[in-house]
Amino acid sequence: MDRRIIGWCLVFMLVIALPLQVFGATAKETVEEKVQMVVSLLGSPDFKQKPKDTQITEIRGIVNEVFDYTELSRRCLGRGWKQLNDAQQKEFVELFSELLEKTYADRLLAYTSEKINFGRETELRKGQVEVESAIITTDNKEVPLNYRMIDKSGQWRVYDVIIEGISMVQNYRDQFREILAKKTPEDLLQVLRDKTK
Amino acid sequence: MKKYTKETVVGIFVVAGLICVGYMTVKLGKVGFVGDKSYTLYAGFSTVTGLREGNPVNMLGLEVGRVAGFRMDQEKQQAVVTLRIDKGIEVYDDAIASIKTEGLIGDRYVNIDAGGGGDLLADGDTITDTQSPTDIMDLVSKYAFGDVGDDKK
Repeated sequence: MDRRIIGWCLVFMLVIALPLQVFGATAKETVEEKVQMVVSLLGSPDFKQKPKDTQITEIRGIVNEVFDYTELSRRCLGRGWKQLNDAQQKEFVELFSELLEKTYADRLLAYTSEKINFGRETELRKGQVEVESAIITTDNKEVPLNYRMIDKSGQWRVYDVIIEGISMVQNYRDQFREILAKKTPEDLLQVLRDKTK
Repeated sequence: MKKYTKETVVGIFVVAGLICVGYMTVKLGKVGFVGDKSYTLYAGFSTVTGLREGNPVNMLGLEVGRVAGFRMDQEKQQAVVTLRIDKGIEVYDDAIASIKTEGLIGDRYVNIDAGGGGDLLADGDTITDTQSPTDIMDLVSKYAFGDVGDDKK
């Protein structure tokens, strides 16, 4: 009788401990892990042999695990987000992620051997943090690259990238605001459709 | 009799002049009762070089408030700025506050992009997404990131 109780207690403790391990990853650990995965991929010789489309698909797989495109889209549109209906919002998120991919794929693939150092993690507010990192370029310049992350049900996802102090969300927000000031949400979607054809 | 009248006239002019000056001071210098027509927001920056108390807070190019004070947060290594914003100006929790310069060598000001995809900020809340002052900001922004209206593939 006693042994069984002890047995069950141990099982109970294990069950509690395991999930805690999984959810323990901090924001910094999450993004650092993914960045290092992309970096190793970009640096590996067989990756370089693959056709561009395959390369992009592989990187996309890793990026999608840590980037929250919906959150990014919502912040880049600001008030404009509420002007879009559900179907338009969904399409916007898809088109926007395609646009970003098209814009940055070449720059990512141009990576050679730059080192990436991670700094500290600062809390912005509950559930939001900024993780500091820096890219050491081939001519030894340090480019600060920070990730702003949000906690979505235990998982840390990136919603903004700050390079040299400039926010990606702010950049696109200004452009989308200008478009929405003169055109309808449907026009905005058309602009994105044309850019991602 | 004449002496009295001259002095009285001069006195009236002086008083009138003082009233005019006082009126102009209030109107132009905005020395007024700002008290209950504004609310307070905070924003933390990694540096606030050049920003002074009394500098304006702008949104979409219009002045919507003033910088009311500074405080250092040593734990987060940030300079927290107290912003007094006009009541009625809506700022959301995804707002981005940045420190910019009027023209090339003008005064610094705090620019707020109100956001809108989240919840409204109330009196005493903090704007968490901020950009510290940078030089040639717009150029670098365009260079570092993509242009939606670009024709290049």
